[in-house]
Amino acid sequence: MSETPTKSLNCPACGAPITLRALGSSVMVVCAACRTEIDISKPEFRIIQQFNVAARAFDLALGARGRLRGGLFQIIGAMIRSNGGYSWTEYLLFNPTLGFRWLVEDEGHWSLGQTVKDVSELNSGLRGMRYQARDFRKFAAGAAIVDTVVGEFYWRVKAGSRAWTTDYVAPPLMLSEEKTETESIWTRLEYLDPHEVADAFKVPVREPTGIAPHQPSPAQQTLHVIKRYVWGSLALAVLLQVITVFMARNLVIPLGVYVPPADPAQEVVLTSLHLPARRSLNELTASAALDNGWVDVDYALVSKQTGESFELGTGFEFYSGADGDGAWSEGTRSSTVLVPSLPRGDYDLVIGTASGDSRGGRVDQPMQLSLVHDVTPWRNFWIVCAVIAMYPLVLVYRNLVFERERWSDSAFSPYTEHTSG
Amino acid sequence: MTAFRCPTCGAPGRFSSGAPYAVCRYCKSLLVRTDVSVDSVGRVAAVPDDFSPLQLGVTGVFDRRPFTVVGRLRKAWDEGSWNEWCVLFDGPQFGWLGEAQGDWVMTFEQPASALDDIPGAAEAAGAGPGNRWRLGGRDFQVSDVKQVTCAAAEGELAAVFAIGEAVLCVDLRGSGRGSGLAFATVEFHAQRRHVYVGRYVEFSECRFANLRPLDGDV
Repeated sequence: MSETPTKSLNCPACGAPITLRALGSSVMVVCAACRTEIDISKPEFRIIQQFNVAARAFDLALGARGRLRGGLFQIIGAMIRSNGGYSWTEYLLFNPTLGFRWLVEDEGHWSLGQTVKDVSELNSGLRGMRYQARDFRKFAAGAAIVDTVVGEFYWRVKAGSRAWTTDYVAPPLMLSEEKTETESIWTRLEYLDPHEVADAFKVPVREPTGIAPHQPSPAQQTLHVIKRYVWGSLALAVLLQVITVFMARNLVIPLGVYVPPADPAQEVVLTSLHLPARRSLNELTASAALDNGWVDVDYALVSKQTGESFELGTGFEFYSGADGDGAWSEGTRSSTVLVPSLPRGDYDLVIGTASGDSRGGRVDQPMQLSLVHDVTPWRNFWIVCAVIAMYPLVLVYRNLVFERERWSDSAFSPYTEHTSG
Repeated sequence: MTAFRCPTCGAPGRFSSGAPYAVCRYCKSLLVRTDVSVDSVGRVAAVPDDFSPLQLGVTGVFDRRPFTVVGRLRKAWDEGSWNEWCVLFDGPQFGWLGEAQGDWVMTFEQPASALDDIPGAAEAAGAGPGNRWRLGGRDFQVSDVKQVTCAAAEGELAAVFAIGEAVLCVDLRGSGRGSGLAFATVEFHAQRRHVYVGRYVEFSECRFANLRPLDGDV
């Protein structure tokens, strides 16, 4: 077992024991009992500022250790910062070989932050910053004032000290710039699931409230996961449909002309036709030179082999005339119906009609009939596409709702009009 | 001359690295080696305890070249202090492994020609973060300008500050990402300037041995 290097001192103000955990890197420590600020940058420790105020309890204790994103870190300092009535907590974590990290808690949302060293990679972009090939969008700007501070820090932090912060987001990341009169420090923060923090430090954490500026959208994450499957299924559906298109025979079979019989109730057996495909979708078209009339057609395709009858009906109507606005017409002079699932074989087409015209008589124009055998079915394809797209579209919608809510807290929302500046 | 007796306290010592400076481990005299003798130039403070995982004798690897930690300077400025570990590569060549706030930087002293494009001390004192300098043909940005002293020292050292000397130091960062990020320091001494250039290193990439036991995460 290796020793944890610590050094202890007693608070020169209140006498409470203080444990130093990052000696050599720290320049100050704030007594957890009375909040007295002590300079430890020189071997002779001295009081910077004395408060004698009981420190507010933090969710995570100084000295607590937790493994976060692959590194074991110890909490050496903590501060509560605020802007107006709004406050959040920042913990300073230390590991002797990995250095410092920030653990930030804001409304129950947690982030792990690290100071940006490669500042030459920071470039301002149209709506924010560009860093390491990612675009960060400006989300918030405001003051950050230190309300309460305890523990060790590698710079001199004081209650009351103020900085100006600007946050840019690219979920799950945030870039935060902190400016004082003398310097500007950039921090790259990564959103943590609250359970990661609870597991790391073995403490319960509260449920987060609202949406954090850089919280990843759950719908977006799911979309990201299923994206490849969605595109894969669509590609497969398209491929199958392309094959279907190429395999379809599209054989045009003229069926001749139907002449309305003298007895309107009489059915006409038009022709016998041969359908060579094993099972086919067929397009049956009827057309007549209608003049202000309507036709209802009942088809029956009767198999010569089995006697099975496939029945379906259709109809069309066409009217025309002229009025004050000029000539008009409505309706069509033909109708096409799909006859699905016809087995291979020879068929009789039995036709019965009912019709009428504007003069109260029957339509007596002959009707042209034709059939395209083995056409490409499209309906199933569109149904499949719709089914595949349904869940992703729901997610896209949910993501939009989430993003609108996220940005509703921002003065720089892309969803609302605002004056820049 | 490698073995010597400390001219101040008489304790035995040894220059084993070829470095020109050493700190007597008993009386903390800062010793300088000349062709004929070892002279004391004053006393330095003992390095105060800290939580660095390094110590003298640690070995490591940088860019596939093995090195040994032979000395340490504890440098200080108004707002804190940090470690500069003097490391010895085969060659021999000295490097400096800086350890500041958990960041690790390996630098090597550059020839004076690398300084050709940079301003003098007076102008450098007014430099601020973001200023662009060229060092040895490469672009850098100033990240830090401060007055630095050597607070303490131990072991053998390739270079030292004069005792009590405050030196204007300018830290710069170059291009590159992650641990490949270039780093440089320019020291403006009274009579001379030194430039050290290198890059950030990940602690883990150095594959250190003989580390000081720390209950951290290595």
